[in-house]
This record gives sequence, structure tokens and C-alpha cells, in this order.
Amino acid sequence: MIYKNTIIAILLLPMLGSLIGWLIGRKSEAYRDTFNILLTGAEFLIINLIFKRIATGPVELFIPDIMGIGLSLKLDIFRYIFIWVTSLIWFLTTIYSTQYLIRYKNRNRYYAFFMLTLGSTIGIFLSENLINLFTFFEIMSFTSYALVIHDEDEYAHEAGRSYISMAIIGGLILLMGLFLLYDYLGTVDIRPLSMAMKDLGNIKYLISALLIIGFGVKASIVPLHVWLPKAHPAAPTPASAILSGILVKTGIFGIIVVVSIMMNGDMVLSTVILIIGFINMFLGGFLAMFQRNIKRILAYSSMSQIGYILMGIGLIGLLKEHNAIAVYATLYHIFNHALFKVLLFLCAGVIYMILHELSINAIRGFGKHKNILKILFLIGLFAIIGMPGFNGFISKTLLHEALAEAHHMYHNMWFNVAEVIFTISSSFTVAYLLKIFVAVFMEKSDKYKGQYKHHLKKRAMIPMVALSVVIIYIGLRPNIILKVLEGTMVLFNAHEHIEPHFYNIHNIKSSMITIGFGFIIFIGFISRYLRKEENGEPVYVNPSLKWFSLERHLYIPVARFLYRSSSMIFKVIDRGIINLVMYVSNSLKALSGIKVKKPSKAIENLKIKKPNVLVRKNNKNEFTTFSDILEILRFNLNSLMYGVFILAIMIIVVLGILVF
Amino acid sequence: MKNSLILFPILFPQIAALIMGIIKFKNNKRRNIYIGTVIVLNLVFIIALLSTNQSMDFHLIKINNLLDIYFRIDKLGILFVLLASILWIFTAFYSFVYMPHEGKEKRFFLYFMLTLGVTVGIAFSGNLFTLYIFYEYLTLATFPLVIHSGSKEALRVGRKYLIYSFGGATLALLGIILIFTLTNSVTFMEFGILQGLTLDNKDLLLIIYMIMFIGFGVKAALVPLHSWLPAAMVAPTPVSSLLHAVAVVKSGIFALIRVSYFIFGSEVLYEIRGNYYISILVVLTILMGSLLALHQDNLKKRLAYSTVSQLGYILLGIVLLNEESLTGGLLHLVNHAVIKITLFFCVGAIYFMTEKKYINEIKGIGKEMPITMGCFAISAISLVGIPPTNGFVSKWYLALGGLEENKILFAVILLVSAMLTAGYLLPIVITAFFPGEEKKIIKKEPPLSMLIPIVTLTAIVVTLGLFPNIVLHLIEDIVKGIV
Repeated sequence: MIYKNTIIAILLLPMLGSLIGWLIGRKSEAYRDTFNILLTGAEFLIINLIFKRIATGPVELFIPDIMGIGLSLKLDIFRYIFIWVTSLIWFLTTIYSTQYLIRYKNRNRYYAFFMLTLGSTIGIFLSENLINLFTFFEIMSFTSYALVIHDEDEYAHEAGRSYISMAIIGGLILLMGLFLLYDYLGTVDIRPLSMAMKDLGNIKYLISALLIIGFGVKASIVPLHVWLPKAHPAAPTPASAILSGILVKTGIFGIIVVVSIMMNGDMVLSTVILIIGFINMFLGGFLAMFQRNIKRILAYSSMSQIGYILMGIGLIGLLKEHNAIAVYATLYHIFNHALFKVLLFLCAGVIYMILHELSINAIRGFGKHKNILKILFLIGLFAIIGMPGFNGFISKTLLHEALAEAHHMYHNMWFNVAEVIFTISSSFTVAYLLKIFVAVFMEKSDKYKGQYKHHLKKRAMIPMVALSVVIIYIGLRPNIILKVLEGTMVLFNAHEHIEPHFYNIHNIKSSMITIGFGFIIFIGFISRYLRKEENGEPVYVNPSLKWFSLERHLYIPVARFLYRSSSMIFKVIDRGIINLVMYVSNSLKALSGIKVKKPSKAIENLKIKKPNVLVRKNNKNEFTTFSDILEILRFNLNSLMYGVFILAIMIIVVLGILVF
Repeated sequence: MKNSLILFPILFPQIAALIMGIIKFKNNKRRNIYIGTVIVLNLVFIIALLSTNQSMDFHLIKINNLLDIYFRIDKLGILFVLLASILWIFTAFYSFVYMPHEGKEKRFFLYFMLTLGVTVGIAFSGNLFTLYIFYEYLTLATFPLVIHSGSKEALRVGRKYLIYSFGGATLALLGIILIFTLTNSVTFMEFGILQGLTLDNKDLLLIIYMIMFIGFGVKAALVPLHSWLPAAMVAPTPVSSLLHAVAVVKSGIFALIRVSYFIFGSEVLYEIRGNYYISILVVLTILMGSLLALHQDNLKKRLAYSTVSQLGYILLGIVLLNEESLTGGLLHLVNHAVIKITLFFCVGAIYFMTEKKYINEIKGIGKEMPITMGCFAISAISLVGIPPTNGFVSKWYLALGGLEENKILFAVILLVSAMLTAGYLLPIVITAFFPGEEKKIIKKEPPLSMLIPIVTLTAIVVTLGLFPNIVLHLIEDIVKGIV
């Protein structure tokens, strides 16, 4: 019972904390900051404390009546990994925020939404019921929107528009999937679904495609990624960090639930996910090399890393009973990516905090004399490129082994291509990070000579140091996490027990080859073609800006065309009746121009009531036209008479119709 | 004669309105207390009436089977009457503050109370003829409210309102007469009165259904007969919010439910495929309303077009003719009423405090009126159909109802319309809260008696989203009895 209450507590704590923090913040900002740090700290602590219980088996909780079908929560090891890393990252970024946001406006609003986003993200990971999951997913979309456009400038609004429209459309597509799912199976609980989906015909592919598209918008799978390179840089850095580190993982979580759990790693679906993974991996890395804004480089890098994770998810399905290694690899990489990507973002944030500038051309040489920052960035860099001794090495090795296993299993020539793409993409990773590192931390600049030291407070550095420590620790002792991951095997129907050895010549060699390739790409491509000399200053250029852009050249024109054409049609319908009536009345008016010689007696009578009008008319002309008569009639009608008049006309018309 | 008590909630507000017209109050406060008491008392009385006896009927005048003023209480009527009376109270309190802004309060409140009685009459009507009488009466009683400002524009719109309403009602009357010639009865019965009829002339029945649907559909803003609704937004905000988002339009919907399920019955409709043709119009209604709302810069007009589209949702629930869809339709009848009235109240509060009516004028107003706009934001999200708000629940059932008919199209249309809804409502929220420019902020929250209805209604929006079972069970009960 106590554990059930704990689950509710970790869900509600941030949500209530958001409100309380907001109220405190109206009185004192310092107290609010302390409160938020304590709150996220407590959240992290509680989550750590319940590990022992979760390791023995899942805790489930059901509260009926909420949203009609009830709130169904579950915490097992699989979900625990997600919420553990979420709460850790949130704790650290909250500490970081207190320093970062000092010169920002609307801080109170920021923290309120920051905490709400935490609550809803935890909610997503805890939901056992797809409707609950969808609910938290939508809340998260809206609350994180407030974080994305925090700056409220042109760029942020533009990014926010992309973000929110894609999020809403994605959400609706997801909802469509849920409609179909419920219509066919009558349940939305994740666990029973995996049984029920088996008996469903081909419609299950439609359903899962809809669900994957919905989740894929958040996970930024190609071609639904267009919002990511805009939104991640637009947000304040701690928010970018959680967007890239955690929120994309909500999409990944959804995709895992759909592909690996609901569909039991269906072959067709897994292959599709695998291919998308390779596209993401390659395209993200490739485009990252061209970017000049360091946050944008990191955003594209996230897209590329998501590709690795998607590849892992695909392999879980493809490897069937031998999928243990793929499960380890995928979950491990999800965990690692959160750590190193957040570290890198926080490093970028430190630069922005001081210079308010993110373009490589402007901040060139900034970090030459900043040794601590340099080391921290280097740790992040080593981790993401998979340098032995850092956590990225472990998960990339696992992923690589899983891929090799699949190759071994299927003997398909496409896996050779896959191996090549995998290696090239990893080399891209090396290249684009070297681009940042060389430009920011190695090149000389006259502007920056080690000033701004006093700007860096401990509060900003502690989270980064903590992340670095975790990264190296896991890198050196990978088995700690592997042991935890063992608990998830049941969920994925994996039965093997593997004890991989990471630090052997083979693995280290392949890692070194990749890194070597990366160096070659950096020197041979980036330094040569993307770096130009202008007025004696080296300047990085970005030719990809002129390339075909999905959003600018496809989505927006299509949407605009649809909108304009349908508006035109519906405007005609809108005015339909009125135009028809106008037409009829105009033609009647033309008819009524016919002159009548002697006004009848009835009209004479009417004249008396409104003499002034008629006297004027009759003085001019002895003839009366129909229109004059109608005008007289109109003057004499009040509202009630008018009503009766309309009624009479309608009856006449209707009778006319009936006669025919 | 215990059953004659049924007349009380119909007559009491009307008599009270007439009394108000005769006597003079010392000050506005006393008048407001009087009005508030009458409306609250009426609700109390309705609840008391319902709790004593669930089924009750009463013939007031009976000349023959057609000319029969007959009242009857059933569950559907209860739902409608409770919805209307509760929202009437909120609107009354809102209007006490708002209306002095517009002037001529006495006339307003007189017709305001009169309309309450008429609406209760519609809900309790036991046959088509009574329904028709009250339906026409409703047009007349609300006409002075539409032309309240007395401006040329208002008078023009008022005329439009009359033309459309009377035109529609005449069609409906024709349908009633035709139904009577076929069955010799116009009394509402669960599962319809046409059941025993041998269907030798399906086309005739189809034509009758179309005539009646279009006739009553005028008040439910069925495209292409909707254009009175956006035009009627010249009326003061309480009128727009209560009448043109709740009472009048929902009376149209209510009448359509009566016709479809209590006269024709779902089985007969299936056979004559009446729902098929109507569903085309309904789909047009949904899409056109939300698409044209995007073009409106006037906040109230935008909400009016949104009402057109949302009424389309409810109509869709009615014409799909299955349990799920009707549940969704009835749920949306309740949910849309609560959401839309909140949105209108917020827009009214903005106009009341700042005289601003257009979207481009309200930049940054979220910082000046955070509570009002916060409520607006929640209601807007609810109208889009994002959980955990009530709009989601009704959309869920409607979509399932659509899928039940094996038509994915309907669910897709609902989602497209939801996307458009987001397109026309969220920019309002975004410009209000994230203006991107620093301005000196002067708090301009409306007075408490406007704010309390807004906040309470928003709370209802969220509560009904989190715990839909409160209403859902009642509605499922109704639906089981008539589909």
C-alpha cells in the first residue's frame, strides 16, 4: 500500500509543487528557487528509495472513475529507468536554471511550467493505460510549449508555432489510432493489448502506424522532425536540455510500447522502424555538420542519436529470441543519451549565459582559456562519440553488437549497408562535435582572453560536474546498469543471459576506427568546405540553408493551398442562401419596375398611414410601380406582421412544392 | 391534479417577469435580488419536482390529437432543463454586472426570465405540437434580446433572425401536419410512433424527415441555414453566451432529438436512410464552421462560427443513430454548453473591462487579466478536445460512434475539425499570454461577480473531464431507453 501511495506521490509532487512554487514565487524568488530544488531533489530521492521494491516486481495501481475509464499506473524496471533518469535530469537542470535564468523575465511562469512538464513526463512513463498516457502526453506538449517560446521573440514564436502545430497534429493522429484501437479491441490497457493485437488482421498495422506517427512527432522521426531543430535551440538552455534529453524519450517510450510490447516486436513494423532509424541517424548527423548555432548542432545530434535508439528498437523485434542484447543496447542508449546530451546542452548554456550568442562564428575562441568548461565539454564529447572509458562507448558497442548479431542471423546484404551507415553516422558525430570543440575551445580569438570568470557560479557548474561523474562512472563500471536492465527482459520476452565484455581489443579498435574516420571527415570536409576566410577571419558557412526544406517547401505550401482552396469553397456555402435570396430579389426588383397605372383602393388606404412618403412620390409621378407598393407595404409592417408575412410566404411556397 | 405542478416551472418565471414589468424597484440591487431569487427558486422547484416523481404528464388543453397542449417529464427533458436552469443562474449573476454596461437592463431581464420559462416549456413538451408552440414562442421571446442595442445593425440582424426562425418553424409545422396525417398522433414515444406503420411510401417519410430536420435545424445552425447565428452576435454578451450558445441553439438540437428518436425512431430512420442525406449537411456544418472561424477577427464572431461547428458535432451524434454516438452527442450538448458559455463570458469580460473586441487588440491581455484568460485557455483546450477536459470525453464517444458505423471518415472529420479548432482558439491564448513586448501591466480583472461564474464554470469543465461518470451515467440511461 505504501508503495502505491508513493507512486501517486511522485506523480503529484511536481504538479502540486508547480502551483506552490508559483505562489511562493510571487512573494520571493529566492525561496521559490530553493523550494524547487528541494522538491526535485526530494522527487529524485523518493525514486531512489523505491528501487529495492521495484526490483522485486512491478507495483500497479488503479484508481477508478478518473476520466471515465480510470487511472491506471504501473511502475516496473522498464519504466523505472525512464523516471529515474527524468528525475535526475530535472533535479540538475533545476539547479542550473536558478543561475541561468537570472537575467530572464517571467521566471515564475517558467518554473511553474517546468514543474508541470516534469509531472506530466513522469505521468507518461507511469501510465499503463493508453488514454492516460495520451492525456499526460498532451499536457506535456502544452506545458513544454510555454518553455519553448519563453523568450517571446520572433524566432521563439516561429519555433513555437512549428512545435505546437506539429504536436497537436501528432496528438490527433495518435488519438485516431486510439479510437480505432478501442473500437476494435475495447481496451486500451497496454498489457492485455499485447495479447489482443495478435488476433487482429491487417488493421493492426494501420493502428500501430497511427500511434507511431503520433509518438514519432515527439521522437522526431524523419520526416516529422521539422520542429526539433527550431524548437530545441529556441528554448532557454535548461529547457532545451530537457527537451532534447528527456522529452524526445517520451516519444521513444511510446514507440517501444507500440512496437515491442503491444505488437510483440512484429517483423514488418520492426523493419520499418529499423530503416527509419538509419535515416534518422544519417540525416541528423549529416545536417548537424552544417549548422553554425551550437544548440542547433546539438538538436540535430539528438535526432541522430534517436536514430540509434530506433535502430535498437527495430533490432529488438528482428532478433526474436536472441533479442536480449538489443534490449540492453536500446535502453542503455536511452539512458546514456539523456546524460551526455544534457551535459553538452548545459555547456552550451554557459556560453550563452555569458555572451548571449550561440553562433560558432561569434563565439569562436571563447573557451580557449576556460579549462573547467573545456574539460566538461570534452567529457560530453567523448561520451557521445563512444570513446572507451565513457558511457557512450558501452551502449554504442552494444548497439553495434546487436546489429552484427542481426547480420549474422539474416545474412542479408542490406546489413552490410547498415553497418556502413552506422559507422559513417558515428563518424559524423565525431565530426560535428569536433567542429564545436575546435571552434569554441581551441581556436584563438582576440576578443576572449579568459575574462568573465566571475560569471560562472557554482550552481551552474555543480550539475555539469555531477553529470560528468555519472558518465565516467558508468563508462568504467557498465555492469551496474546492465544488472538493473536485466529486470526488463521479461517484458520483451528475452530469455538469454548475456555478460558482455566491453573492454577488449576488438571493441576498442572499432571505436577508434570510427573516431579516426570522424577526424578525417572533420579535416577533409568541415575544415575545407564549410570554413571560409573572410577579411582574414575564419567563418563557418551553412550551405544547407538553401537546400530543400520539408517545412518551407512542402508542408507549409501544401497546408496553405488546402486552407485557401477549402476556405473558398466554404465561403460560397456560407453565403449560399443569402446570395440565392439576393439573386431572386434582384430579379423580382427588375420585374417590379413594370408600371401600374391606377393605384388600387387598398393602396390608397395605405397611403393615408404614411402620407409624407407618398405625397412626395405622387407629386412627381402619377404612375405607381410595384416597388413603390412594396415600399409602402414595408413601412406599414411591424415585426409581428412581418413574422406572419414570412409565415404566409413560406406556407405558399411549401404548398406550391407539394402540389407538384 | 398533482400533475399540474408541472406547469409551475414553466409559468413561474414568466409570471415573475411580468410582475417585474409592472412594479418599480427602489434600486437595482433589489431588482437583482428579485431576479436571482426567481431563477434560483425555479431551479429548486424543478429539482423538488423531479425528486418526487420521475414520470409525470399533464394535458393542459386538448381539442383533438393534434391540437393538444401536453406536458410530460422524461429523462431527456430532465437533462435539458437542468442544464439550462443551472447555466441560467450563472448568466444571471454575470449579467447583473455586465448589463449596466449596455443599458436598458429592465427590458433585458424581463425577457431573460421569460425565456427561461419558455425553455423549460420546450424541455417538458410532451408532443410535437406543444414543442412547436414553445419553439415559436422562444423566437419571439428572444427577439427583443437580439435587438437589445436598438442600433440599425441590431434591427437588421433581428429581422434576419426572425426570417430564419419563422421560416424554419414553418417547415417544421408542415412536417408536423404531415406526420399527423400519417399516424393521427404527435405524442413523443420512446423508439418512435411510426413503428407499427407499414412503410409503403418510404420516400414520403424521407421527405418529411428532411423537412423537419431542416426546419428545426435552422435553430441548430445547420448549414446552409446558419448565417443568423454569427450575425446575432450583435446582441449583448450574456445573450450570445446563454441563448446563442446554449438555450436557443440547443432547443433546436433538442427538438431534433425528439423528432429523430421520439417520432421516427432509429429503426425507421435506418430504413428510410434519412440519416444518410442529413449527415452530408452535418459534415459540411462541422468543417465549414471551424474553417470560417479562422477567418473571423471579431472574437465573438469567431466563437459563433465555432458554435456552428460544435453544433455539427452534436448533430453528427444524433444522425449516426447508434448508442455510442448519441451518448457522445448528448455529452457534447452538455459539455459544449459549459465550455462555450465560459468562452463567451471571458470575451465579454474583456469587452467589459477594455472595450476590446478584436484579436489584434488583445495582445498581452493575459497579463492584465490572468484569471479570465487562464479560464479562457482551459476552456479553449477543452473545446479542441484535449484531455483531461470534458471536450475530450464527448469527442471520444462521438468518434467511437462514427467508427461503429464503419465510417472512419467521421472520426477523421472530427479530428480535422479539432485541428482547426486549435487553429482558431490557441492563437488567441498565445497572443494574450506571450505578447513578446514589455508593457506596464495594470491588473484589470473583472469584478468578482463576473469572475466567480467564469471560474466556477471552468472548474466544471475540468471536473467533467476528470470525472465524466457524473453525467455519463445519466446520459447512458437516457440513450438506452431510446436507441
